[in-house]
This record gives sequence, structure tokens and C-alpha cells, in this order.
Amino acid sequence: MPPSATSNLGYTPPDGGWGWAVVFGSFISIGFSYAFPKSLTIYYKEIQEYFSVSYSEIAWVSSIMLAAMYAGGPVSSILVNRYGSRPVVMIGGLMVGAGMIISSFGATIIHLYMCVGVIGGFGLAFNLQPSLTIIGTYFQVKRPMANGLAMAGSPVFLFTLAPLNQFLFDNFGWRGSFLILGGFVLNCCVAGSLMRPIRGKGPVKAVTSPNGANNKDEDCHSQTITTVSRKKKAGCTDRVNAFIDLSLFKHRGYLIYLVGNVVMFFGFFAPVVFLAPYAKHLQIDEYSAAFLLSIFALVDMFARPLTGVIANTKWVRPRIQYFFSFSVAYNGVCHLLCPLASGYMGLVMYAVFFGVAFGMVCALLFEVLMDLVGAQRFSSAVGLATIVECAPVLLGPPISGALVDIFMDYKYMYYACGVMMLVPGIFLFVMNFYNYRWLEQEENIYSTLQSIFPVYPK
Amino acid sequence: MHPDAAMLAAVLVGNLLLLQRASAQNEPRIDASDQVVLVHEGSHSTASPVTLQCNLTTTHNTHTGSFWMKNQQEIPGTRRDPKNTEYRLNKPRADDAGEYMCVYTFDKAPNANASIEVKAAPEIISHKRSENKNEGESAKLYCKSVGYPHPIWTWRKHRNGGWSEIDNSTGRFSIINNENYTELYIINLDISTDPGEYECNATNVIGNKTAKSILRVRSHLAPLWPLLGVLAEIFILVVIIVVYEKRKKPDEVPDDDEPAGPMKTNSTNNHKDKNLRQRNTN
Repeated sequence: MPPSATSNLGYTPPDGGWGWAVVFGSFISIGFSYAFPKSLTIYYKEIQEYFSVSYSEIAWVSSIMLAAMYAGGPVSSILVNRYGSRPVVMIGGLMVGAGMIISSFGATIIHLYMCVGVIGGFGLAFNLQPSLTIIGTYFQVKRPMANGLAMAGSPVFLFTLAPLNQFLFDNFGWRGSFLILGGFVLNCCVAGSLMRPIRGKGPVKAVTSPNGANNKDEDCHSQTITTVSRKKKAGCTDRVNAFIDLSLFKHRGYLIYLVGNVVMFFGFFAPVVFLAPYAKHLQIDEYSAAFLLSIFALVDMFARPLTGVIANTKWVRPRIQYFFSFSVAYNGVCHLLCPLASGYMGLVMYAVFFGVAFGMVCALLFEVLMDLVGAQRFSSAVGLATIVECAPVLLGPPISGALVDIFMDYKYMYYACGVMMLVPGIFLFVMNFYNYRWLEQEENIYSTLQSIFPVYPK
Repeated sequence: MHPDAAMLAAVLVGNLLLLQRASAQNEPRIDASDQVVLVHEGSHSTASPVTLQCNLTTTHNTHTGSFWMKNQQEIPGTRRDPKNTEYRLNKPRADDAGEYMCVYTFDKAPNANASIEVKAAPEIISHKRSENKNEGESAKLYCKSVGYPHPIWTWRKHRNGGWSEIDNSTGRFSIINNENYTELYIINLDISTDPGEYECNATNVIGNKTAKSILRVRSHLAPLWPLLGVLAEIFILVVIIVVYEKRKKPDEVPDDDEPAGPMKTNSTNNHKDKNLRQRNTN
């Protein structure tokens, strides 16, 4: 049986109590991070007319915001490693709020690029990473459930922000709406204030305790054991590792995760983006097409906590990597079968199944990462992962759009997305099978060594 | 005048008159049905079917065919041979109204036509239902109609419980009328006098129709109150959370600090796996 998920924290996380308040705070932060950029698209038509720019120029605002959000990942990780989650989230909230309020007075589209795009995007990055990290510090046994609940923030916020933005727009125009949204987004600061650091200490990164969970020392130590010539290099890497753990790139499980995810993200978001246009292409009216997205979001909303609960059971938790690879492959199968869906009811079925699949992957996305690298290095891991995943996330929808334009048919895009999710799913499944086996072997070797040499350093 | 010249002139004029009469005699005569008025009961019902008929009576030339035109444009699929043609409107609606012409084509003579007017009261098919603009900006209210003859447009504003003419003493209002389309353009919106209900009225000989539009003018300071409300809510929440935290006991979390010696049994497992994970980095 593969080894169970570890804590390497140095203390037993409470798995409850104030942890649920922290989950609620993460819920709000994650909700804003993912849903806010998407919900701003409601204002684009009016802003486009106001500044007399083309559609692609206004779409740059979204792209810049997303790019800043992903690029800010490592910066966010460094700050969280240094100062802990709470200050970073509060500063992130202030940044987004200030960005929106300043942009409401903007005179050109460049002002929007800077304020909403760059400042807003970085602010959202400062919200996302710390929220995920702090869950790992408060939860161990119930961590998948906590992750699932926190990630459910994204569809819930999207569901509420869309009509709210429409209401604000009708009553206040885009400038007034940006002003009010700037204030509304400051609720991230409220969420941040909930993220009380555990044990009153700032960063989870352990200090220099001799037996302590100190990967910095451990790396140094193991490197000096292996080769003497690399001693000098160990000093340099040590200093960098104080900020962000680059040794993660040598972590086998982490590399498997990265490779699988990079390919997966090419086909992950495109089907969501093209769901409504595909429905309209099949001669379904606009309102029913929009309703498909609502069905999708509603199913997603419930699928995420449910997946968290399932992942928490004692049958799934030890094999959570398999569960994740299954959900990725299930996504792929959904997309491959989508062109067979005929008529509106077929698309409704697809939206339901896709909603479940999407929710499953999102709920487990960061949980499996925590499971692989441990809560301590999670902050660096997620920061590095976002900057590597940045390219497929940003390129996926445009490439899919190009496929639709070239073939004038949506089915090739769905086939491509299906393949791009099925292959990583199978890859992750196979590689994790081997990874679990190698980990088991290493554990056996280690325990034999420890029985021979009782003082074998850890 | 020279008597020969006068005689020549008389003969010429006489010839001309003769020519005219002859051509009048040669001109084909078409009997066309009278003008039709489409009557509707209510906005969705249609009038009873209407048939427009043309009958070519006197002609010296053989005619080669006939077709129908509506508002100076040929209706596709109406080119036919028989002498009397008819064009049938099965479920006539307001947009079927217009000036119809039956046209006969000839071998060696120009086309002959007769026109039949199908009149209907105007129907307003689209208008701006509501317009929300900030003060100082410009607003455009429009109405589009179908019907024939083209209506005369008027705009009114709802004021003091009744409809009254638009007061353009400030010169900010301008109306552009164009057959079936009218536009009311207001510049430099004033938040005190401009908001309210506006009505466009389309009138022709048969009837009239109106449509209402609502204009709302947003003040520059309008979003300020909700913003202040949201900021107040956030401030209060943050204060409550921080105060609650300060008053709580600092050591709430059960610590499991490992001492620098033999491990407690329940954490041994964790450490083994922890080291295992880190070993993987090599």
C-alpha cells in the first residue's frame, strides 16, 4: 500500500476549529481570484464604445490580468515564505481595490491595462497562493475536504458576480461600477484578516531546529554527503532556497505533476469558453446557450466540495493521485463524446457531465500537489507551477479558437481538447503507479537502514 | 408671319396633336384594382387576405410578360405571362404596405405599369426602451416603423401628469426624421430636467401609433454612496475579526513540537515519510 500523505510540519494541524474560518477566508479569496477577471467581461462592450477601440484591444485587459496573475505566482510564493499568508492576502486585496478605483477615473485604455490588468492581476495572485497555502497549515486529515470547499468559491462567486455586475452596470455605468467593485473587492482584506497564522508564528517554514522539518538543511546535508565538489554550489542554492525552493524541480512527483498539468491546461479552459458559442452554432437561442453555462457553474459548485469529501475517505486518500488522473481522463472522455451530443438536451447532458469533471479536477488540483510535496514546500511549489502553467492556460483558448476557424467546425476542437486531457490523465496514472512503487521501495530501504544504523540522520 | 410659315406651323402642331392622340390610342390600358387599406384589430392579428389585380386591356403590341414591383423594387418570383396578373397578400401585415406596381413588358415598346397603393397604419417595430447615461453625456432615443404612407413623427415628454411638447429652449434637443425612422438626440444631459418618459408618435392618413422610452440620467456622485457603504462594512468586519483575535487566548492550537530526542510514536510515521519525500529531491 502506498505511503499516506505526510505532514512534515512539526506539529499536528487542528483539522477544525478556527480552520473552518480560514477555509471561509480562502473561499472568498479564491472566489475573487478566479471569478473576478471573467466577470469583468460584461463591461467590455460599453468600454469598447467609450474609448473607441477594437474588440481585441479590450480583450487585452483580460489577458494582461491573467498573465499578471500567473506571473505573480512565484513573487507571491516568496512573500508567503517570508511573511506568511495574512499580510500578503491583505496587500493583494488592497492592490486590486486600489487598481479598480483608480481605473474608474481612467482616461485612456492604457490606464485600464495598467490599473486593472497589471495591478489587479498581481493583487489577485497575492490572493490565490496564500489562501491555498494556509489550508495546508490548518488541515491534515480533512485537507481534501477543506480544499474542495475552498475551491468551490470560484463557481459561487462567478454565479453571483455576473448578475451583480449587470445590475451595477445598468445603474451606474462602467465607471461607477468599477468604483463600487473596487470597494467590494476589498473584502479580500476581510478574508485575509481571517487567515490567522498558526501558533501565532508567521511563516510555516520551519527554523533551524536540528530534527526539524528543515528542507534547507536537509538539502545541504544530503548534498554534502553525496558529492564533495558540490559543496560550494550548495551554498548558493541555499540562499535562493531561502526565498523559493528551486530544488523542487528535482522532486520526481513534482515533475510528473508539472508535465501532466502543462499538457492538460492546453485543453482545460477552452471548452468552457466555447460552450455558449458552440450552442449558438447548433442553432440554439442565446438565452438557452447562456443557461448552459449556468447549469455548468451550478454543477461545478456542488461537485467541488463533494469531490473533497470523496477524496477524504480512507479508500481514496492514500491513492489520491489515481483519483486525480482519473478525473483528468474523465474530462478528456467528456470532450471526445461531446460532438455526439445532439440538440439541446444532449448539450445539457454534456454540460452536467463536464461540470462534474471540471469540478473534480479543480478541487483536486492543489490537493494532490500538497500531497506530493508536503504543506511546507507547497508555497514554492504552487508558485513555480503557476508560472510554468502560464503558457498553456493563456494559449489554450486562442489555439482552440484557431482550430474552430480553420475547420469551421467545433468537433475538431473538442477532439483536440479531449485528447489533450486524456493523454495526461493516462500519463499521470501510469507515472504515479511507478512513483508510488518507488516511494514504497525507498521507504523499505530507509527503514532497513534505520534499523541497522539507529542514529542515521534524517 | 408669312402665310406659308403659318400653314406649316399649323400642320406641324396638328401632326403633333395627331401623334399624341395616336400614341394615346396605341398606349396600352391597364385596369388596376383600387387602393387597399389594411385594417388590423390589435397588434398581432393580420388583416384578411388581399389580392391586387391588373388587367391589360387595350394594346397593339404583344406583351412578353409581367411582373410586380413594390416601392420601386422588383418582387422576385412574380414574372409571368398571362394578361391579367394578380399578386396575393395572404396574411398582410403593416410591413406589406407600400406602393405596388404591376409592370408589363413588351417586345418593341417600353414597359407599361399601373400602381396600386396598399396603405396601412404605422406599426412601430423597434424603439429604444430605456437609456441610461451619465449627466453631461449625450443620449439618443429612436423609433422605427413600418407602414405606408410614411408617417409624420412627433416627440413628446411626460411632464406633470400629462404629455407635452419637448421644450427646446436650451437648444440641446434635435430631431431627425427619415421616412420610417426618427431620432431624438439630446446633448449635455441635465439631471434635473431631462430624465423621464419620452414618447414617439407616428401618424399617417390611416392611423397613428406611439412608443415610450425611458431616459435615466445618472449623477456623477451616484456610485459614491454604495462605495462608502461597502467600505464601512469591510472596516467593521476587519475590526471585529481583529478584536476577536486579540481577546482570544493566544495558544489555541495544540502544539506538537518534537523534542530533540526520541520521537513520539504518532509522529514517527510522518517524519519517515517526510524524509522520504526530501530524499526524492536527490
